[in-house]
Amino acid sequence: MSDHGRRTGNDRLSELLAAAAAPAREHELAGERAAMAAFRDARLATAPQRRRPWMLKTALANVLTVKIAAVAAAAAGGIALAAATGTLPGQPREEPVLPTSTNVVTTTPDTTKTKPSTPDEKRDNGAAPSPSLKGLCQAYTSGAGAEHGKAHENPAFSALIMAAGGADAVPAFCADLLADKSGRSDNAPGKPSRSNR
Amino acid sequence: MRSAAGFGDGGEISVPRRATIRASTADTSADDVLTAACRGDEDAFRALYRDVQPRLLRYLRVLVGADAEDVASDAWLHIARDLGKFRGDADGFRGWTATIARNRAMDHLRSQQRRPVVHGTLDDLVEPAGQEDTAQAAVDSAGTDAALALIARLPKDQAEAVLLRVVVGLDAKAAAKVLGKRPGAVRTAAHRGLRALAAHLDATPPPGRTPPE
Repeated sequence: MSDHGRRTGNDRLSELLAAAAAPAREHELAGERAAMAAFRDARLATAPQRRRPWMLKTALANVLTVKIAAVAAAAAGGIALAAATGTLPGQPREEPVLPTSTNVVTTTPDTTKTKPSTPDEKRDNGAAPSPSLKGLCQAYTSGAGAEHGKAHENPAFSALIMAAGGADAVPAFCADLLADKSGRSDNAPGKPSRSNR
Repeated sequence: MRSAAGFGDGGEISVPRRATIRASTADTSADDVLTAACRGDEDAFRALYRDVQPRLLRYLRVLVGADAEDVASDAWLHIARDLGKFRGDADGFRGWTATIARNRAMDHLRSQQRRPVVHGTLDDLVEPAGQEDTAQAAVDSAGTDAALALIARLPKDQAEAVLLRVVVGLDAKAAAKVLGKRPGAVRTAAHRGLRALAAHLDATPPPGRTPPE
């Protein structure tokens, strides 16, 4: 071929190589989302190594908070119970003055004995030592706004979750329990499930 | 063949190569982006992806053909996972990613028990694409596919050398590292590949427009 033809070939080689290295086309970046997801996953996988001490501290603080709340609530529950029976801790108990109409104290053990096969067994089980459950509920609901999601994972709440019959049931369970306390003080501790029947 | 403008005997390629894919910013800022991505910056990683992915994909297309997208995705999982361990600059990053992509491609071929795709000979490709404007055709989408298809018809070692140098943007030394060869061998392969391409273009009438004669 002529000189002209050869020069054309070389020019076209330049064009060809430029075309081969041309800017990205839309379909070539179709995997961007997947690549970004992989990047995020990889970053998450390495993150705990750096954050572990901080996370441990937070978890510990959560457990402590719950414990303190539970103890406080248990104490409050005890006082409430005592108030309902007319007996405060440290005060001499006045013996047989209780009228039979206020049957709060005696019903608690009775219910577990006389109705062991009620459909609400789970709640009855959890209901017996309820002051601490109430404390857990208070801790749970007060933390609900902040870190609700983490509450489920907190081992301190496992008793509460068991008593409620599942993590999902905790809010309803606690709502019942706490509503009972504030709503009807004569029915005070221990029988959240009664209101359901 | 007579010397062809566009590359010298040392395999130097004087094509506007790096002024091409995704207007690469100044190298210093490219290094900054890389540093940020290594630190976990998402936008920086996205910028890296958009710069490097087309290069890898085009390189992979020659190695594994239609499976290039899958292999590239696989490579990016690897890249994302190991980015924290990478040490080097933006040029080194392209070489590193090309090595990963090539390894994934080799794994893929092994698993498929297949040879790398070979479409035929240079002469099988008659015309890049029927474009009216040849200058524009060189940089538009069809031109890119046609160019890659033409390069893919070279012997594999030449095609790889040309792509690593022209498309991925590696120098001979970095390309040699990816290929596990000596730089001299890569220079020679690139040189031969470019000469074959030029010869093919010489012998083929330009598409769309007849040369003024």
